[in-house]
Amino acid sequence: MRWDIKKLSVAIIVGLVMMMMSTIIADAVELNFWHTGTEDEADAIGEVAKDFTKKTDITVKVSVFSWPQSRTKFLTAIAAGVTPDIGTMGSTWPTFFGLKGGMINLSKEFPKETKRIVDKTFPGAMPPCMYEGNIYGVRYDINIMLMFVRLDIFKELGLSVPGTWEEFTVVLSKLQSVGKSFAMGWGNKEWIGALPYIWQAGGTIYTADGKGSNLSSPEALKGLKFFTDMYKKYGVPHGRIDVLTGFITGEYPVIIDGDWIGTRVTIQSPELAGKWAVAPFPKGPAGNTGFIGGRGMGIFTRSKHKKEAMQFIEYLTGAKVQAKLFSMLVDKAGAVMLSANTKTWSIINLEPTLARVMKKQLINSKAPTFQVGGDESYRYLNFALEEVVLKGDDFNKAMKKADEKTNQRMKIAREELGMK
Amino acid sequence: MKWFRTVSKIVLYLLLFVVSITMLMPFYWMVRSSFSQAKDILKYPPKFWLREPTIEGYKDLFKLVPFGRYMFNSIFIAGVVTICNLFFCSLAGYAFAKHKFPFQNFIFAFLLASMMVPWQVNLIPGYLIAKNLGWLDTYWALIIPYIAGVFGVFLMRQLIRGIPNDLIDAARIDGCGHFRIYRLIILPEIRPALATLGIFEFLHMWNMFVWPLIIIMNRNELRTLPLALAVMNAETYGSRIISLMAGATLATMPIVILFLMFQRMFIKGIAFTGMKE
Amino acid sequence: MGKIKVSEQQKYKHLFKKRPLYKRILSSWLSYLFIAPILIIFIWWWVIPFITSLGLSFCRYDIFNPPKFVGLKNFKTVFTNPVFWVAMKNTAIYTGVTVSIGVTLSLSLAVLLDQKIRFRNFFRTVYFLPSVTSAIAISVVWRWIYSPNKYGLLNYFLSFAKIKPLNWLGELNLILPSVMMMAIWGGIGYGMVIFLAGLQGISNSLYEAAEIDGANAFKRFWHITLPLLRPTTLFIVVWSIINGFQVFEQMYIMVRSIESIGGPLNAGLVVVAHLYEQGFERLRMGYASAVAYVLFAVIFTITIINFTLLKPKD
Repeated sequence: MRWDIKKLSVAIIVGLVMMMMSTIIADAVELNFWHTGTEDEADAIGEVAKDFTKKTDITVKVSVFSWPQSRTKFLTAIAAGVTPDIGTMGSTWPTFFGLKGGMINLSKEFPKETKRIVDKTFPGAMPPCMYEGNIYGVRYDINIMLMFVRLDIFKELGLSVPGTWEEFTVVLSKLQSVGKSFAMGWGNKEWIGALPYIWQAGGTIYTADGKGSNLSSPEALKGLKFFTDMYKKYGVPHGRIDVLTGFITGEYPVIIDGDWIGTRVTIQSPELAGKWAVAPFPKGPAGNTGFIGGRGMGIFTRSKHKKEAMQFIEYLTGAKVQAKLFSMLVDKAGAVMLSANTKTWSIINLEPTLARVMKKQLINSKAPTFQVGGDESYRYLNFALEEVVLKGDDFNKAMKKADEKTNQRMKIAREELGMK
Repeated sequence: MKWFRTVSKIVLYLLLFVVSITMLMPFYWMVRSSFSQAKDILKYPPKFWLREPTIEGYKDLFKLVPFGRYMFNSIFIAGVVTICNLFFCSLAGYAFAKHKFPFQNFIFAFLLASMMVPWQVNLIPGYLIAKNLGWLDTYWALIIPYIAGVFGVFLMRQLIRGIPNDLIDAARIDGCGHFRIYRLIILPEIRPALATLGIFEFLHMWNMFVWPLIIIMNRNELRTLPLALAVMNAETYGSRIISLMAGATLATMPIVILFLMFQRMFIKGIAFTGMKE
Repeated sequence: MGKIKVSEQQKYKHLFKKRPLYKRILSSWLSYLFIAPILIIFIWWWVIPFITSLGLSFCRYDIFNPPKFVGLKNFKTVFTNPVFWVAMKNTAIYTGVTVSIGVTLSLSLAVLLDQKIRFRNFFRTVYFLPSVTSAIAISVVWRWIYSPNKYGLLNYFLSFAKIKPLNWLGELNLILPSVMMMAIWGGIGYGMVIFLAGLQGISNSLYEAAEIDGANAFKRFWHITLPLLRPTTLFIVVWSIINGFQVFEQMYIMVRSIESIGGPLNAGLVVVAHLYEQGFERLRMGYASAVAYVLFAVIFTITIINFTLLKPKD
C-alpha cells in the first residue's frame, strides 16, 4: 500500500471540507425574480439586489420579459408548475393569478409586512391588487398619464393651456387647422386611454357590485364619445405613432402620454428646456381624474422561499431602494420608474415644478379596480373603439356590443371560479 | 431604326437602375440611420447624406443589450448546425446514392414526402418535446433538431449519384472501406456542393426566428440576433431607433458580405432549390 | 462486354434475392449507420411531432392538464371561428397579391437581364440582396421606413407629390398593402434568379429561327419563352404560394401590438400568427394543432391544383 496515513487524512479532510461547503451552498437561498419590462430595469433590479444579498445572503436572479410576452409566460409557468418566487407584472394580474391559485394572498400569509408596505403606498394605486379585501400584490412601480404642452408653439398659435373639455376642443380644432395635432401615446385608441374620459364624465366601466359592465351608462358613453370624437373629428393620429418625436419636432404640440416622456424629452432634446411643461388633465363634467398604471408584484404559490421573497419585496418597495432604482434608470436609459411609495417622492431628484404637477395629477388619478373577468374583457372595448375610429362604425351600436360582450365574459369568468 | 435601338437601350438601363435604387434604398437607410446622431435622426426633412457620422448608436447598442453575446449565439448555432449538416447529409447522401440496402427507396421517399408538410404542423409538439427534455432555454433545443436536414440529404444524393461508379469500384478493389471511399473519393468530388449546402444551412439558421422565439423564454443571454431584434423593436422609442438600426446592420452585414464574397455559390445553391421538384 | 455484365448482374441479383431479409439488413449495417443520424433526427423531430400534432388536434390541451379527447371539436371550432376566417382571408389576399405581382416582376426582370447588357452581375447581385437577409431585420428597417410621422422615409418621398403623411401600419386598409409591398420587394430577386436559370436553358437557335420567320420580340416571348419556362414558373408559383401561406415574421414585427397580434381589428392577422397566438399565448394547443393541419391541407390542395394546371403539356 502506497497510501500512508498522512495522505489519507488530508484526503479525508479535503473531502469533508468540500462536503461542508456544498451544504452551505445548498443552504443559500436564491430567489427567482421575473420582471415584466425592459432589460435596463432588470439590470437595475439586479444591481439593488446585490446590497440585499450583502445583508441577508439571499441571492436574487432576475429574468425579464417584454410586455407582449409576459402574460403568456406567467400563465404557462403557473400551468406547468415552474413559477419563479416573485414576479412583477400588470397591476391586476397578481389578483387574477391569486384567485386562480397561482399566487398567494399576501394579506393572509404576511399580514404585517403587507400592511407596512400598503400604508406607504398611494391609495389610488392599490385597487388593482386587491379583491374583496384580500391583497394579492403590492405595487412595484406606478406610471401616470400626463399632459405635456409645447408652450412655445402654443404661444405662436395664440393658444392657452386647456383647463376644461370645452377649451380642449378649441385647441384640437385650432391645431387641426394649422396641420398639427394633439396625440396620445399611452392608450392611443385603447381602453387605457379612454378610461380617464369615462371617469371625467362621471362614469365607470364596472357596475357598483363589480359583476358587470357599466359601459352602457350615459356617463360612460359621454366620455367614450368625447374620446372617439378626438380621432374622428379632429384627426388625432392613431396607431403606433412616435409621440415623443412628434412632440420634439412640434408636430404634436400637446400630447397625453406616460410620465416617462418628460425625462426622455429632457435627455433627447435638452435645447427644448423651458419651452414645454406638464399640465393637469382638462376637466370634464366630473373632474380631471387621470390614469395610474404600472406594475404590481407578488409571490407565487409554488415558491419554496415565500418568507425570503416577502423580505425582498419589502426591501424593493422601500423608499431608498426605489429612489436608487429611479436614478439608475434615468441615468442609464431615460426611463422613469415612479415609485408608489409616497416617501420616495421627497428624496428623488425630480425637477420641482414637474414634481409638483405630477404629484397633483397623481392624487387626482386612480388605477382601475380589479374585477373578475375584467382583464379578459378589455379587448371588447378596444374592439369597439377600433370599429368606431378606424372603420367608422356607428358609435352606439359598437358600444352596445362591447357592453354585452363584456357582461357575457365577466359572467363566464365568475362561473369558472365558482362565483355567482 | 438605329435611334429606336439607342432609345430602348437607354430606357432599359434607366429602368434597371431605378429598380436597383429601390432595392438598395432600405439597406442604405438602415446603415445611414445607424450612423446618425441622436439630434439629427428625427429632424425634418430627413437628410440623405450624413455630414457627421458617428458610432454612438453602436456604442449604445452594446451598452443597452449584450449584443456581442447575441452575435456569438447566432454564429455558434449556425456554425455548429452547418458543420453537422455537411457531415451527416453527405454521409447519408452517399449511402442513398451508392449503396444498396433493404427499404432504401422506401426510406428515401418517406424523407422526401416530409418536405410537403409545412413546419408549423410540428411546432407545438416540437415545443412539447423540448420542454419534456428540459431543453427550453438551452442551446440543445436550438441545435439538435437541425443537425441533419432532409433537403441536404436530397441535394447530396443527387450530386453523389453523378460520380462515376468506376471510381468507387476501383477504390473498393484496392481494398478501401466505405468510410475511406467517402473520405477519399466522395468528399473531394462534392466539395462545391458542400459549399452550397453550407451556405444554405448557415443562412437558414442565421435567419431563423419562430423556433428560438418559443424556446428561449427566460435566459435572455441565449437570444439569437433575429430574436434580439424583435424584442428591441418592441422597446424602441425616439432616437433609440439609431441603436435598433445599428443592430439590424450588424445582423445583416455578415450575411451580405458572405453573399458578395461567395455570390456564385449562393446563386447556384438557390437555383438548385429550383431543381428539386 | 455490356451484355455479359448485365447477365452477370442479374445472376448476382438472383443470388442476392435468395438471402433472407434479416441477413440483408444485417449485412448492410454500415449503410444504416450512415443514414442513422438523419433518420434519428427525422423520426425524433419530425415523425413523432407530426403524429403527436395530429393526435393533439383531436384533444383539448393546455400543458397544465393532461390532453382530453374531444373528437372533431377543434376542427369545428376552427371552421366556425370568425377570427380564423379573417386570418385565412388576409393570408389568401397576401399570398394572391404577392405571388401574382412578385412572379410577374421577377419574370420581367429576368427577361430584361437575359440579354447582352453591361453590369449584368451587378444588377443581379443587387436584386438578389434582400433574399439573403433575415425577414426580421428587413421588417425592422421597413417599419422605420413606414414611420407614420412626416419624417418617415416613405412619407417624406410622398411629400414631394404633396401627399399628406400616411399612417402605413395603422390604417385598416393600408396595413396589408404595406406588408405586401415589402414582401414583393424582398421576394423578386429569388424568383428572378430561378427564372434566369430557366431562361439560360432555352437554346438560342429557337429564337433565331423565330426571328427569321419574322416574329417580333413580344411574339417570341409569348410563343417560345413562356411555354418553355412552364416548369420553372410552376416551381416558383408553388414555392411562393407555400411561403405566402406561412408568412409570420413580417407580421410579428410590423403589425403586432401589445393588445393584439393581428393589429387593429385583426386587419393584419395571418394564419400562422393566429396559430402562434392560440397555441403559445392562449395555450390552446389542441386548437392550434387543428389550425396547423388545416393550413397543411390548404397548402397541399393548392399545390396539387397548381401541378395539374401548370403541368408541362406532353
